[in-house]
Amino acid sequence: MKKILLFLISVFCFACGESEEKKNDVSYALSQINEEDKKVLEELFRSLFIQGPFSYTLLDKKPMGTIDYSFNFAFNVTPSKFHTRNALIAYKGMKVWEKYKHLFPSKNFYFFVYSHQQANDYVFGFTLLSKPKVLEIIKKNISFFKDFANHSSETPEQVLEMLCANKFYKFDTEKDEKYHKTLGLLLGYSKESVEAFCRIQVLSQILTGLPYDTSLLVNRERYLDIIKNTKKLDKELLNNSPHGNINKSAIEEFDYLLNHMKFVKTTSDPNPLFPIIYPGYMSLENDQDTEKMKVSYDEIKQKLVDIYSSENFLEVVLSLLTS
Amino acid sequence: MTQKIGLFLIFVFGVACLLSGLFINRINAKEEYFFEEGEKAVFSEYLGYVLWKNLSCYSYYDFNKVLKTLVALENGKLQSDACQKDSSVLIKLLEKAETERSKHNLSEAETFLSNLRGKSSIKALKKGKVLYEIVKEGTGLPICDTDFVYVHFRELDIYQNIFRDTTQTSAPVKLKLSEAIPGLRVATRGMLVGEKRKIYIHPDYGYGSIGKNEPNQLSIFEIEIVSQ
Repeated sequence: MKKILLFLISVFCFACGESEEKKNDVSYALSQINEEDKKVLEELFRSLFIQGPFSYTLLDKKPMGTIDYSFNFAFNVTPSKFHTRNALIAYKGMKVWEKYKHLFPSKNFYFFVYSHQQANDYVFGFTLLSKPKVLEIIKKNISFFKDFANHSSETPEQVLEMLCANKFYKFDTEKDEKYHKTLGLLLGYSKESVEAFCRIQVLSQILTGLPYDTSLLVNRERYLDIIKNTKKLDKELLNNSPHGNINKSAIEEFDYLLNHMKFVKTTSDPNPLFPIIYPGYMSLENDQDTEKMKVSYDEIKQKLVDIYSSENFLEVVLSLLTS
Repeated sequence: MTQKIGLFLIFVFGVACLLSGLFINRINAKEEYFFEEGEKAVFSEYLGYVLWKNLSCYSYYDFNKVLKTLVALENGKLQSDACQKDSSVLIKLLEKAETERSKHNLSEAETFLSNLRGKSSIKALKKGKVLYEIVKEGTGLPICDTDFVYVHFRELDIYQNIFRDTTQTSAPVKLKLSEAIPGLRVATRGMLVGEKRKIYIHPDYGYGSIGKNEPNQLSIFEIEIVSQ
């Protein structure tokens, strides 16, 4: 009995030592950074944290979260003070992070900064990916992801590696149904809602330019809004329509989806005093997976507020990132 | 002779004005004929409001310089993408403005709280960074911040402008105060059902340097516990 007790005590001490060591790693790494850069990093991570996609991924609820900024929108077009301020913090912070990211290696997360020129705009942002959660998604949808990766022989772990290394073929985001499905699944949206969203994209392309009677649509204005931004009809999509020749049922299906998909916040109890922005997505009404997600996401609300309020916020967040 | 030179210069100046009016730097100059004069006037007034909406987000600009830039853009003397080439300059200026705004707000918040601290009705928490006063006494049971309670609240800025006001809706809001910003959580502890408090929160216990509406903003809440 004594020996079992001693064994349990030593295991406990070892575990404490391990986590203390981890914290010390982050503390040590932070001590290598000058005060000015540390302040920039603190602001960067606070800005990311209050935006739900990052914080809910960090606490292992979402598989992936992305926060991006358009240079034109943030600084040149219609300035929203909150958006411009966060874009400035992100713009400055990403450069400082690039300097020090090697001090914070992570086994469980893939956190990367991206920026690229896009037409007349400059887009920049951050993606946080929880490797274990994304691996779960890949395994559940393995045939889709293998097709997406264009390699039928890869294992789920190899597909994950390719995703982290950004080794997928390029696609036209406006037309490609696979892009929307991949993004929806990786962002942790419910599968049924993701498929409904993709179906809206496909139908809007099929129905564009056809001689149909829009008075059949209940939500005509919303549909007209969508088709204004959709490119010309793709004959291949038309031929592959499950309805064969396009007829009234395609319009009915489209109308149904438009009227039964709503933007939902992933919480059962929206608290207007909660300082973190709730993540959200377009969900089908009565989607049970969405309802379960809300309950699951609510479990971490208190922990999010506790981290938000902590005095050594940067150390806590970086410890989670590198845990 | 002088008269002839003068007349010649006036003539040249007049031709230059006429020509500069022909070089209108717009994407589709022909579209100006879509409207009649009266309609054009109404639409132009509307554009003025749209431009003003953008301008009024800032208070640190020279209006005359803005007008001169618009005239130069209209006359083709400036290209509209010139702004993007100097984007690093714009970013530096915006950063400077945000830093100054943040410092100013912090100073204002600290002065405001310092002026309040001496009042007899004010109770201080967190080394004076969170203050509250009881506006209406409660008679019910004390609340627990991890339980759901029904509240009405108003959120104001340092100038008493109201951002949010749940009293405008008929039903109180159901929430947990433990999920609120730290200053609000600490200042509502021990509140009784029926009680109303006015709470003043330093940014360190509020929305911090990121802010919600302004960086380093002082947060003011009037909160009433309706029921639990």
